[in-house]
Amino acid sequence: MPDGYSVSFPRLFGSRSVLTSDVTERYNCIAWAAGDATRWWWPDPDFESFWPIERREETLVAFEEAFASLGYEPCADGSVEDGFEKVVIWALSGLPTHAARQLRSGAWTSKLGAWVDIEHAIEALEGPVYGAPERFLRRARTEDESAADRP
Amino acid sequence: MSEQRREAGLAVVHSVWISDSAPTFEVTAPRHLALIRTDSLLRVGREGVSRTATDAPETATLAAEVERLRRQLEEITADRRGESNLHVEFLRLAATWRRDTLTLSSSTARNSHPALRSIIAMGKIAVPWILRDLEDNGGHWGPALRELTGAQPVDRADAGRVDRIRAAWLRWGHEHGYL
Repeated sequence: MPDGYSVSFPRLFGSRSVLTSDVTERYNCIAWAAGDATRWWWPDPDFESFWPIERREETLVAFEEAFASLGYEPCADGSVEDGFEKVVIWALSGLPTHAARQLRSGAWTSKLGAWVDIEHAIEALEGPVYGAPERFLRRARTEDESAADRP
Repeated sequence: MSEQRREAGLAVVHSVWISDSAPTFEVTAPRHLALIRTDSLLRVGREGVSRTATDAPETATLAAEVERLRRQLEEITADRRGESNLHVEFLRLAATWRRDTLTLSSSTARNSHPALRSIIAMGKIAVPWILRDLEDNGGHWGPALRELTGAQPVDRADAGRVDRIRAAWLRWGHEHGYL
């Protein structure tokens, strides 16, 4: 991990996190949570990034709507529910910063910006960069999604 | 033919001679000066700097021309030193920006980072440096390039396709003489 990241992610160190990819800037956390490893997702107004809905704004509502377009609905928490795949959206000062997808094991998989994928406990990424989990969403797992945890 | 040598900072006015057709001033300079700039008065090549006049001035005018050329070279040398310092600063800022935004997805956070704002404040001189960095290291340089140049060579259908966005900007850089 690059120097200084113990400050950015103070809870990541000492937690049971696993590196699961090489470095790539081809996709980011939102794309990875949505199951897309080919594009960078973000609601930027300049169309530098892909966004699945018209509402291009950095708000939790816009992020919930984006995942709703993929079949996700709000749920209470990040507990494991049979038959459901969950996504969590992090926010800092009310602004979305990050998203992760729950694996069948109950662990979470995240792409860290333009860096790497990791599997981690949900609290591992809390801190001054991503803030904290703010919204939990879920959708029914399809047969394909049940067969594999990653796109 | 007359010949004159004068120190001009890092450059040396090497010789002046008058051929049948026109007087020519030849100035030799360290190799790094050869990449500085060209304009209507001064030709800069890899082997040195020279100026060719189209009319034949009197000898006194010739000396004045040499002196003017020497001063111009001093200015170029100073410019080059300043540009070199600015490039070093660009590299430092780019490294800071890349490090600080590596784990961020937010375009707002990336584009408002102080290091990137300082790069944009450098103006268009930073465009070829950004394009070379994009070519070598990738990165989300598109918004900075748009802000600096006003260009938008990326098709909206390629939104989020990092490799295609990079290719579009590099193609644009070649087409517009930045690379």
